[in-house]
Amino acid sequence: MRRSLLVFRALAMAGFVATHGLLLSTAFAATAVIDDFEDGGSSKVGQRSNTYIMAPSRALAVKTAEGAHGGAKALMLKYDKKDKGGPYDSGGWCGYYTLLKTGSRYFDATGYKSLTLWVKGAAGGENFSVGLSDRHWDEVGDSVKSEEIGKYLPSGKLTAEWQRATIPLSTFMVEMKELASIAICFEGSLFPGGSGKGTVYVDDLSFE
Amino acid sequence: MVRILAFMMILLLFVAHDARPRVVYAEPVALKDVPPPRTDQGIALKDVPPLPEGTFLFEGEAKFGHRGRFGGYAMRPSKYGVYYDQKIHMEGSPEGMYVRYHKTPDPSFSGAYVIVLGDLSRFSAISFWIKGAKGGEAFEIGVNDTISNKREDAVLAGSIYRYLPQGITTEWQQVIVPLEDFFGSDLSRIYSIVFNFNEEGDGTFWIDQLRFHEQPLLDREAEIVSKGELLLDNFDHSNLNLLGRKANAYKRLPSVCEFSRVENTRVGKHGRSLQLEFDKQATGWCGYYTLLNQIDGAYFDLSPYKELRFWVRGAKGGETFEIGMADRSWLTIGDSVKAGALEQYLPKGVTTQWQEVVIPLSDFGKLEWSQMGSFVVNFYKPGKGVLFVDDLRFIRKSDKDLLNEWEETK
Repeated sequence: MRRSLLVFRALAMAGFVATHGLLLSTAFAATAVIDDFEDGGSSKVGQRSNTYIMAPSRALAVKTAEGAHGGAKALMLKYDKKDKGGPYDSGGWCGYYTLLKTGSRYFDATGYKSLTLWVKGAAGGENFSVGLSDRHWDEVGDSVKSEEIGKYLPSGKLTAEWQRATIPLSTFMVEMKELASIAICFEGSLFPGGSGKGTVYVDDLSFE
Repeated sequence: MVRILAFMMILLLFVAHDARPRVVYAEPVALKDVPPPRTDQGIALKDVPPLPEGTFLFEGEAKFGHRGRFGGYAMRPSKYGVYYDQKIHMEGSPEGMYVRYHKTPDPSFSGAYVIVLGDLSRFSAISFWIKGAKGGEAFEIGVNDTISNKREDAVLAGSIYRYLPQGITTEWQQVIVPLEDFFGSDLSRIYSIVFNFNEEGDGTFWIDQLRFHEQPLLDREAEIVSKGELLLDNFDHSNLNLLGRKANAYKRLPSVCEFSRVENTRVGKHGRSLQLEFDKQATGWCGYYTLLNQIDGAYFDLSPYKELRFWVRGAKGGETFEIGMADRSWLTIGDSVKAGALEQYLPKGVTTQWQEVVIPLSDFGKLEWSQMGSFVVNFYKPGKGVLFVDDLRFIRKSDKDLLNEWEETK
């Protein structure tokens, strides 16, 4: 005889109802802060970030309190893009990524017009481009790159002072409804001779 | 193998009018009927969007499965009891979910579930509140989508201890479970949330305030950064490790290895340790692995880490083994890179006392550290014995470590 206890009840849905909080939807907010690089391990969308490297190029990402733009900390990125060695003797590659997707759930940026970030260089004259990947580009492990960051800065180039970069999302030919990641890319084409080394700072990465 | 919902499927057959499964499609819903998302507080089960139009359901699933229905499954002599409790619940709720279980050794099993029948694809986490009658009650949490429900094989994320490290107590505690932990499930077609009683014993607990959140709510990386280490497994409450990945013994005859988690030998006052009973012959191979990656999913990024640490002891002393790590390339060919003999890290070798093994990850050579797949205990010398392992963890590089490494590398 089955001795298991089994009591089914037609459910009163009220059993799950709790007090409702403030109605907010990041999907329709004017600004979606992806990362402010304050303390904590994950970005504001709860996902991980790190450098990506292919030797002999290399990159390093740490949060720093040195002259943060907003709040207590900013992201410091050191890069050393080589022009020789590695696959195809092209010097490898390096950069930084922050994931937007959660598992198989992609980020919907259709309500936004631009990607904004605050940037400065340790010395001025450093360079990078911004990459954006959707489901397709995520599957091939790459991203669509913007033009060099100076094009989106008031002064036309990276300086040792904080500037706000505004990159129209129309720059990227990707599916905005299914974004997977944002990247800071130190491409060889951005540097004379294909190699470059330096330190840049990034803060308050957002969609607007 | 995870055995889930056998009893429920029997019930499904009972309610079906004939034995042949019929196709029933979920009713479509207009987007305007879907309530707006709420952050932080989440939304209640009743407000979760329904299954997408055209979702395949057996007739039994459609008739039996009503959102919020609470039930269970068991194979004797294990037992369960579930009902909505109007006496014990959280303030503001008319009732909580009462769950009682009696779990005997495998292969007997039991569990409980709450039916969702919803599209969770826009959500990042679920939360609920839980309290036990005595404290220490345990289960694994999982979900069934409308496919896995048909094959009675829920996707389990791990023990409740993964989400409540101090365990269930007699006070209400909130549990937050990121939905990405249910890797492989079709979140757009979730049939039920499953509570699988994987630990032997008796227990009674209550669940209330089940909510669904668009925000991730948890920052696991921050916890790792704060502690300076990733605890991959303490072997206490589940055969899944604390990343929710699978672990198992491997063997090629005539060499064999069996693993179990044992209570009587461990580091610390509570929990269990891993027991490996091995018999390495002159041919074949044997050992134990625990995965860092999800099968058919993303590899694990170990590049922010510098050391591997764990505790080890032998039943008699003198047992030996080697430690391997596999990145995606090594995993593809079913092998791993070994750091060298254990005696390199324990000069006196394994004894009957617990000793901590510390291995710099650099000893594994040039692995693709951002694409890691597994940790391996490999028995390579002929002989048999019993080995115990506990508290397997990876130590994270500090910012100072990273900056020094940068300066030292040309």
